[in-house]
Amino acid sequence: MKPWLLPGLLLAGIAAGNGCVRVKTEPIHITMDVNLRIQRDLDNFFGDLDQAAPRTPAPAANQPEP
Amino acid sequence: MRPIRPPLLLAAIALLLAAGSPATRAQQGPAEAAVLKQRMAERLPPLTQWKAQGILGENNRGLLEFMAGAARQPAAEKAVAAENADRLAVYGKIARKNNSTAEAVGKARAQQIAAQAPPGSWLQDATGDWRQK
Repeated sequence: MKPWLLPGLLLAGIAAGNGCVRVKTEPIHITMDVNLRIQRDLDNFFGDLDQAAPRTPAPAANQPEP
Repeated sequence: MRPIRPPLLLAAIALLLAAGSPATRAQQGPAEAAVLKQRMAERLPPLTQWKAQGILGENNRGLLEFMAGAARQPAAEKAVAAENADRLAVYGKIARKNNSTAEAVGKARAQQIAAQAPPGSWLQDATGDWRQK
């Protein structure tokens, strides 16, 4: 038996049984899902208005407010 | 005091229940959204013109702002106030639907606006700096 096999198997077992992986990934998935739904709802509401907006370039003019 | 006739009382109760029912509220949602969208569509030509003239910019909260030194016509002031109020109403509705905040929705909308804005538009980036696209 190779010397690295036993520690390797032990580490793999610990990693597989570690619940932290799920705890870390779930909130990311939920946040992404909410962001996607918000983007979709924004597209649904503003899609027509954005299509109707003219795309003429604006001239260089005023400076922004501080 | 005159006694209320039972049929009239029942009709009044039915009317009140129907007004507060989920079906009625569901119908009010799309109708309200259509009214908001109609108002925004009517404001679009002048707002687009003021943005093209560099009078207005889009901030990083998904709202319109006057640029420094720009002439503040009363009509423009009124239109900007009305537009921002309607945008906030939309952001609030989307936020409630997704269990989020109007601020988060406004920021997401600001990114959409920045991506679609024509060259020359004044845009506020996430750090608060104003840049011309």
